[in-house]
Amino acid sequence: MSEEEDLKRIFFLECEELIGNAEQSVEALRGDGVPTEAINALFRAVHSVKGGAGAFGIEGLAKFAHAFESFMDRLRKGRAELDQAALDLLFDGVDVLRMLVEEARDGIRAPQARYEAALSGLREAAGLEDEPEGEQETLPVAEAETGTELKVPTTQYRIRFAPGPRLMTAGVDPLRILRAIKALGDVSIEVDDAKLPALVELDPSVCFYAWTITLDSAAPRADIEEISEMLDDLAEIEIEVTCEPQPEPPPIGTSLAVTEAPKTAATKPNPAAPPATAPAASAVPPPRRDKPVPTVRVDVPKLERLGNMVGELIITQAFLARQAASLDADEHRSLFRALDEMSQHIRDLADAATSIRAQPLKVVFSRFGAQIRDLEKATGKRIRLEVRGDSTEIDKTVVDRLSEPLTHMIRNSIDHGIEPTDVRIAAGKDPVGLLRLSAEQRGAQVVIELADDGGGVDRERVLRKAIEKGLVPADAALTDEEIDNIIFLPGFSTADSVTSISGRGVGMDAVRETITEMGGQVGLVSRPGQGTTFSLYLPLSLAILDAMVTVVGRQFYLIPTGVIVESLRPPASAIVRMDEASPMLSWRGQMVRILPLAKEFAIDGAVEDPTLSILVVVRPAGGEMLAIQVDDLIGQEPVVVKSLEKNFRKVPGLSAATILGDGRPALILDPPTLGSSFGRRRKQETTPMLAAG
Amino acid sequence: MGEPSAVGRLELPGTGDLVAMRDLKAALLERLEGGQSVHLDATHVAEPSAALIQLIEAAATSFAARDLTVSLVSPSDALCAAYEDLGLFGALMTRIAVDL
Repeated sequence: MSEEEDLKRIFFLECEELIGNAEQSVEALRGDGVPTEAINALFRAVHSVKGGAGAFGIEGLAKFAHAFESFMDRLRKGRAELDQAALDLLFDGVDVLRMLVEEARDGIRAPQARYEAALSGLREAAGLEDEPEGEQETLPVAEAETGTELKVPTTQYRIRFAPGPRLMTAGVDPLRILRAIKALGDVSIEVDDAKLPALVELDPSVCFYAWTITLDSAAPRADIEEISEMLDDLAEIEIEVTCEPQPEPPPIGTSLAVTEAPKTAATKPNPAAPPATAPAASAVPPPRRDKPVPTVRVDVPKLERLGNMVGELIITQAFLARQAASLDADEHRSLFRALDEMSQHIRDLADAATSIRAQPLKVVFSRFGAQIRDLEKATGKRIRLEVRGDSTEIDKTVVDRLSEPLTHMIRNSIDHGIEPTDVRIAAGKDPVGLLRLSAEQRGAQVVIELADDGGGVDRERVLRKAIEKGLVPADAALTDEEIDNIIFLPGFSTADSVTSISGRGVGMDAVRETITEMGGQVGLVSRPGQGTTFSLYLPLSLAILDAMVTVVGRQFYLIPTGVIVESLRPPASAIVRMDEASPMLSWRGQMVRILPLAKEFAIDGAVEDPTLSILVVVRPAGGEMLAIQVDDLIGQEPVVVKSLEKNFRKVPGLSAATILGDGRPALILDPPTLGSSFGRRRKQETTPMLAAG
Repeated sequence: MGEPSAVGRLELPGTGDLVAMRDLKAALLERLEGGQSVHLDATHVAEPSAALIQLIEAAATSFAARDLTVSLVSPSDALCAAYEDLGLFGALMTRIAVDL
């Protein structure tokens, strides 16, 4: 790849971020807040796209961005009104901007009519009708407020901070001083612990550490001296300039880019600033500004290689742990301690590798504003979108694949969940329907919820349609949950299924399939008249999974620990046989279907009697609770997920394969589809039965 | 060397104020004199201080001199961040115990 091609590729990557930011800004302009910041942010994003497009000679993109930027300039100067027409222009503008970037990058031709209409609208709104189309004046940098590109020269300081014996008893925590210095720029901290005494001699009220801090900062020396002066004679602070202001970093198109770092969910977050009410806070000036964090762009294949190497390390570590298990713990204390430390280091390394691949969900969430606006027009409904937790991060591969299933879900919620305005008014509801899209990290999972405040699943119609299609026997007695889950069944998704526009289940089987392929699960809770909430449970990392290793016959099967509720060896009294083929477990007051893995996968030599086996009770999200029957449990361990589909083929009930610590292969169960295949088999074999999962 | 003593467990205080540090020092000295390694449960450390971290590190050195260990269990985000901001992140990495 030539240098220019490489720079161009980086520009397109930056365009993805910039347009994502632009979409968020336009969405923010719909809200009730003060629009100034959103207008400026949108301006900056479009201005940056224009600059890069001009540099690479992408004329159509540069011309369009110029018109867009000029309109933004009028808006921010108050020369144009931010009304609904202006908002429509901005939404269209961002859409077309994205199309033009895709055209330049992938050769996908942008729809000419839409491009011309949007360009014409922007030029008119920007007052550019009289300007020749080829003219693209560049606004002055200062006027353009290109905050993300403007690099402030920095000075490098070396600061020696030595707390005196009275510092901490005076209520000043050295930690706060260091944080105050850190708030001024980029720091590198060296600690001198030479004076730290033994525990018995340590006076907890005296700080025995001293620090040398290298600070790269645009702040004047006076800011640092201000901290020093406030400490008076409680500490020594020496400030030395080691390097005068540095020249600007390379402009857009180089391999290094300075951006604001997003909040990272998968790594240990930095702490909040010290509480303002704390006694020592008065001695420390407030931070001047948010500190930009330098970032480096890395090719995805390199990240994948890193992930694979970490995976191999986990397998090796599991192998060592198994080998060591046969050794005497007392005789090999040092070895066990080292293994423990190595295990922790590998876990930290795996977390770090996961966090490197993580991207904020706003990359996906920000695209839905325009889609909802289009659906509002198409359906005549009014929708308010609330987005929460979009800074939650998840593996890039998941981010890339989430757009389509979420789009299906949003379409369904608006088409069939949220009622028409007149119906809502008649029901005493807010005429504006609410869609809440939220994300949060829970342990090793990210949970994405899409909740609407509509009428809920119309169970009567869904059941009728399922019976008509032969998906459910006419005399089936289904619970509400089972009826709701019909929408995930393949074959239910037809255009005439529930309403004249599209079915409540349109694409929902595809949604479940996509999420399952990513190692996730889909759940659904619906309340008549109150709305429906879809929940997606996704793994933080696609590469590493915490699993329970079980054995059946001579084969190993892994169950993701996230779905396990309990494992037990049942007494005979807990086994209830409705008929010979369908043993059930009486468990905590409910009947749970027993799924013998040996029968499911035709494994020879397995224990058949449930009372001599182990039952692992699992509750997959949105699926049926099952008691998976295995011969024995081996133990819990993190495993590296290997795609079964890529290396073999897709198998219902299995999500992937792995290599255990002793080098033996094992299969990872997929409880939701395991339940489904079981249910279908039951349907064919005996009484017709619908499995919710 | 006789049978190794069971590992003791101490819960770190939520706030690293000086009064709490004196109590923590006394508890650590007791374990040290008893020849007992210690796991410090750091789950609930919400407002760590330099005093707290200095005490943990001094204890770790003194325990190590007697072939004993001081380990941190489930350190809170606030504690991890404080270690980092004090330039002691490397020390933290060697201090964290496998979750018990």
